[in-house]
Parts: sequence; structure tokens; C-alpha cells
Amino acid sequence: MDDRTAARHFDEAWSLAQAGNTPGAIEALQRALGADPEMAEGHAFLSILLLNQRRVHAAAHEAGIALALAPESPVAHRAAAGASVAKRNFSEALAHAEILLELEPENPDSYLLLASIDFARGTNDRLEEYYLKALALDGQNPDALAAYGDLLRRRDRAAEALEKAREALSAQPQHADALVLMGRLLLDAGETEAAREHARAVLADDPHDLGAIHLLSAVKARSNPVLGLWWRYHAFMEKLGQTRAVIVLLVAFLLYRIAAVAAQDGGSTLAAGLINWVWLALVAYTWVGPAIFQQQIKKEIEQVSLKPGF
Amino acid sequence: MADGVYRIIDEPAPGALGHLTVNPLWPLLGLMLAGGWLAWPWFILNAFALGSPTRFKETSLVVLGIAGTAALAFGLFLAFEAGYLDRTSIKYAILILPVWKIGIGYYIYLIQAGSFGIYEYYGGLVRPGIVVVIAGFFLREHVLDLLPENLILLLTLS
Repeated sequence: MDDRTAARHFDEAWSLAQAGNTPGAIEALQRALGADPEMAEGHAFLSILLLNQRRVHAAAHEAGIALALAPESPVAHRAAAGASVAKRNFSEALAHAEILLELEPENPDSYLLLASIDFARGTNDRLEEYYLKALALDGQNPDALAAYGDLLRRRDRAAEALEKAREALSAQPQHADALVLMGRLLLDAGETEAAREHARAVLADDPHDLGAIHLLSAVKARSNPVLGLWWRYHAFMEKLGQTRAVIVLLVAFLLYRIAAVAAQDGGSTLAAGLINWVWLALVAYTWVGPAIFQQQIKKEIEQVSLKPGF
Repeated sequence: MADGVYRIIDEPAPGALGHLTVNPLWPLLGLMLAGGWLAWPWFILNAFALGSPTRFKETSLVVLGIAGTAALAFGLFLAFEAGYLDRTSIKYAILILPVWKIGIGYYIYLIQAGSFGIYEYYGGLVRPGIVVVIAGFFLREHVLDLLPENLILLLTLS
């Protein structure tokens, strides 16, 4: 074991993650854990970064190792809760969040974690309460301000949301979530170009920021009706979740085949042909749509100049 | 990974077959355009080629896909023989076979796409699969002609 080497790589990972370089941070953590495989916070941090890359299985595995090595570690419980949310195991996530709240009752992040679980499970009934509790502990916390502002925006309380976005940005002018929130509010107000600039400002710091990429996609969808249609279809499927989306697609396929067979049985070759062509057009559109969309987003992201230090 | 570097559990470990890796979209398209005879073994080959950590799960799903198709085809055959299905209704009932095959194929694709994304992220070699799909599409009839005359087998592998 080499604790000093591990700590050096861990610090490097931390700096890289702060600069938004998640892949670089993961590699640094792999070096840290190579030097000291029993570094609990290394496994927990790795779990959080893997979750950012949507590598849920690996994130849950790393969180499990972190908890086994340090059962009382707040960061291990935070990582485990995040992985449980991603696996949609909300009761397990809540159990970790409650332990975290016992370990760190004065940390606003404990309430933000509870809020993120409430949001992910779709109940949202205690969301506002958790944000207000986090803000009661730290009224200038930009994470809490941006998250609360986003909730207000989704509840059509735009003026209050704008106020929270401004407060978050005055606390931390480059705060990614606050910039994305401001961009969304601008987009809602029809200011497409200003919204795009906010997304680009975030991407200059971190080209992998999902919120900013999502905002940029929404801007693109707004300015191009054909791609906008695909974007709405994609958002609908995303909302359904993987399993339900597959079921919906299979039902659509079955209905298409039944309609085609019925048309043929009814002696209408023209109708059967038309049904086949409509289906083919739909398949082609859902194939080509994302490719063009992603190409446009990629082009836009490539035009963003990365800030030094990334 | 170099020595002294921690290996993450989902990092693919491509072996000797690594150079045969394709985007799992191609086996899925192979299933739609050529049939199970091409796609089922291809899914398994691809899982092992890219060293997918879930390769045994993917293999089990392929087995489920084949066995399920055969069972459904056999059930339809028995229902037709027993008179539960007539010539008109069998045309509709038989649609369950492509739905089942595409459902399982899409599920395997989704699992394999995750591993493939990570494989690409670590710079793994990827072959274009389109040539195989096109060849499979044109060879489909010839390959199915080679099979013994058995309706269940034909429905399962088509």
C-alpha cells in the first residue's frame, strides 16, 4: 500500500472533477485505488463520478465497497443513495439518506439528497420542504437555490424562480445549475439566443454537463420544428423509462402489423402499401432524427471554447 | 489497464475476439432484416468480442429468445391443428413471433449498448457491421432453404 501516492492521485481527481473533467478524474481515482485499494472515500468518489456517466452497475458496486470499508462514512452513504436512486430502489436510497441526515444534520446537502430522491420517485410532495430546510441551514447555498428555483419554474412560478436563479448566481456566478436554470427561464420567455449563451457558458467549463446539453437541445428543438418533433418524441420515451418505452414500441409494431394484415385481408393492397410506407417513414425518421440532432449538438459543443484548466 | 491501476467492474475486457466487435445496432438490424439465424449467434459473438461484463446474461437472453420463439411457434401449431385457430386468425396470431423476437433482441441491444459505449470510450476497435447485415439480407432465403423441412425450426430461425 502507498498512502501518499494514493492521496496525491485522489487530490488530482478532486481538482479534475472540480474543473468538470470527469473522465480525467476517474482515471486519477483508478490510480489512487491502484495504490491503495482500501481507500473508502476513493471508492465513494469513484461511485459518484461513475453515476455522472450513467454507469449505474459500476457505481453501485463502488458504493458497496466504500460502505463495507467505512460504514459510517457520509460520502459512502451519499454515493450509495445516488446509486440506489439510479436503480430506482427508492426505499434503499431513503435509508441511506436518513443515515446521512443523522451523521450530518447541519449539512444542507443532506436535505438536497432527500429532495433528489423525492424528485426521482416522482412524488414531489416534500420537495419544497427539503429545499426550504436546506436554505434555512445556508441561505446562500447555490445548489439549493438553483434546485429550488427549478422547482418553482416547473410549478409555473417564474418570477420567484428568476429571483432564486439571480440569488444563486450572485452567490456563485459560474454555478452550472443556476446558469442552466436562468437559460431555461430565458427560453420559456422566448429568448432563444440568450438561453443558448447560458448553455454555452456552462459547457465552456464542462462539456459533459447534462443540464447544459439538455438546455442546448431544447434550444435547437425550439428553432427547428422537424427536429423539435423528434425531441418531443425522445422526451416522451425518456419519461416512460426503458422497459415501458420498449413495450410501447412493441405494441406500436404489433398494431402496425395487424393493420397491414387486415388491410390485405380486406383486399385493399393500396391501404396495406400505404401502411407499410408510413411505418417505414416513421422508422427512417426515428433513425435519422437522432443522428442529425446529435450531430448538430456536437457541432455546437465543438464551437464552445473550453476554459483553461479543463 | 496498466499495472497498479484499479479496474472498474464494468470495464470491458476484450479477448482474442476483440477485433470482431460491432455496434450492437447491427445484430439488431440483422434480426429484423435477415432473421434469427444471423442475429442470435451474432449477439453472443459480440458480447464475448467486446468482453461485456454481462455477456452471460446476454447469452441467456439469446437462449430465451430462441426457446421462446420455438415454444410460441409450437403453441400456435398445436392451436391450429386442434382447430382453435383458423386460416384467418393464424395470420394475426403468428405476429406474436416477430414481436417476441424483436422484444428480446431490443432488450439485448439495450444491455449490450451500455457495454459497447464503455468499450468505445476506452478506445476499443469497432468493425462496421453493415456489410454483414446486407449480406444476411440477400442470403436469407438461401440459408433458410438449407434448413431441414420443419416449420417450427423455420419460424424460430427466420
